[in-house]
Amino acid sequence: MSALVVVTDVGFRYGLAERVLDGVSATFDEAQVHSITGPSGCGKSTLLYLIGLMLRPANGSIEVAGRVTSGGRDRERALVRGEHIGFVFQDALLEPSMTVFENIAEGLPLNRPLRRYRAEAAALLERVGLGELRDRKASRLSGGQAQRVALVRAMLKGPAVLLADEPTGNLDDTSASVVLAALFEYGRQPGHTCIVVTHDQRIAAATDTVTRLEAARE
Amino acid sequence: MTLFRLVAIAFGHARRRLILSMAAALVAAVAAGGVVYLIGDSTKRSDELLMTLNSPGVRSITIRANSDATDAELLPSRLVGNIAGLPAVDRAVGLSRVQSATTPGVRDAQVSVGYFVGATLKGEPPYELTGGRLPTVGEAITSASAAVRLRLTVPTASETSVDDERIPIVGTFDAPGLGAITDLLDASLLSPAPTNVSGYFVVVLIVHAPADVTPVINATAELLREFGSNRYTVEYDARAAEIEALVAASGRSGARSTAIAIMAIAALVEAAVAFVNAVLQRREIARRRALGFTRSMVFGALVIEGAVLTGIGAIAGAFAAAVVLSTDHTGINLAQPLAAAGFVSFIGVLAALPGGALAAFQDPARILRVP
Repeated sequence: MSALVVVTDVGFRYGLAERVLDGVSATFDEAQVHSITGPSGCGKSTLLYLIGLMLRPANGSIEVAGRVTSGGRDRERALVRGEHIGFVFQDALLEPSMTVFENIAEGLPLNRPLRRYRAEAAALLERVGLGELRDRKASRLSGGQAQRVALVRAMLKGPAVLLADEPTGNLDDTSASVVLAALFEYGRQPGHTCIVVTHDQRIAAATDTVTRLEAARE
Repeated sequence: MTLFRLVAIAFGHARRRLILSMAAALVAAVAAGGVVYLIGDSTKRSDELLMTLNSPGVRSITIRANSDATDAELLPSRLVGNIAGLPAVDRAVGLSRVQSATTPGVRDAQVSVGYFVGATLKGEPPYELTGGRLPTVGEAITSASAAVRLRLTVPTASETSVDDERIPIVGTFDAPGLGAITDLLDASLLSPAPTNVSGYFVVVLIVHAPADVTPVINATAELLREFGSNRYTVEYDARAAEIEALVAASGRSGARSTAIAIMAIAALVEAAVAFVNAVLQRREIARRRALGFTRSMVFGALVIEGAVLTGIGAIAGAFAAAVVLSTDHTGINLAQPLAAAGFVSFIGVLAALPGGALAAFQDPARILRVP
């Protein structure tokens, strides 16, 4: 079992504000589901966005899928994000005027032809119980359905690292269980991992490892 | 594949923000259409002005012997022949001193008009024959107004009386554009001069172009030097050459200035639209960045969107203007609206750059409300 994400002594602050993260180190192995927990404001989501290459650490390094990506140019980081990282946000972040399939297709890197992924998208939608809604406008989806579409969007390209920021925070129990089941199944496949930020101790308990952050204050 | 997907994204976004997209296309249409119409209309009016300036009236020079000249002091035929032979002279006519023609049938009415004996010295006769035939010596043609005043029926069965000599009228003529003598000829009769005329009272020259007026006058003065510069006067439209140059230069450059102003305003509006566009889709762009779009992809999608919208608008506007112009102007060149559309599209691309840069360099993590 190899590490897909290695965080070493990472620190971060927003501009001149107080430090959010300081000296964080963690390893996230493949074929496992990991959770990051901690009190509000401790930097859970910040760590997730650092791993997702949306933010740059003030110090330390982050290695994703064998690439040290904490430095590097924005373009390289974006391409690694596009190829190897999938995001599921607390808010599904779908485009309401686009269909379910169009929203899912947006998650594919631009150099991949859509036609090759139609069947796989249909299978994933079926897997999360939305097989009939392929051509429905996102504006007509419920919150739970939208989050499941967002999950399919993140998984379709087959990223090595699937990141989820409070993915069930706004969902009812039924939708939450479908989303979590899909996340866990994906993360436990060889060559994949799933990192979930959650304040829900039941979800954390179900994951393979738990990284607990404490509030970092200077 | 990447470009294809970017174009699809640009089209999709344009469709979703329809009002903004239509605004961008409309501005481009107005700009391209305005420029095409402005330049086309200006060219047309310049051409019309130049055509007017190029009329015989503007190109005519009237050389007139002094009014108290005796028969021996008229403009000598030999010198007049040399003047008519100048290369820039297209047409020349020599006329006698004006005499009085009256109506034989209604003497009591005391109606009289002018009567010229004239010779066409070069080219076609400068007056236009409108009915009947050209007269021979001893016959005359009449202007329409002279015929009315003399109560003549032309072109047949009419005659007039000049110093008690009856002269048959065989047709009518117009005398437009003969410079200083036009009004006089407009109310006169005209008869061919006999071959043995020794001099002319008036010589009317029509030169090839307005710019030839001054050189021909100078050459005429030279040729008439032996005759004496105090024995004749020269009348012409001194503004002709100057106006021609002004029209050619300022008419189009004025339109160009306005066209540049339109382009500048359109560029500002397009830039504003692109900026608003980028601000409105901040979250959409941040989502795409989170999904792996690079800055150049975000930038490219917005610039493509701007180019497509302005391109469509510009082509529509330019060709609409061309159609409007072509309804009363046949000289529309297809390259003109194409060039205008291309240029406005280029301006649209330039105008989309600031908005594209704003979108590309925004911080997606901040917009997605990272804590």
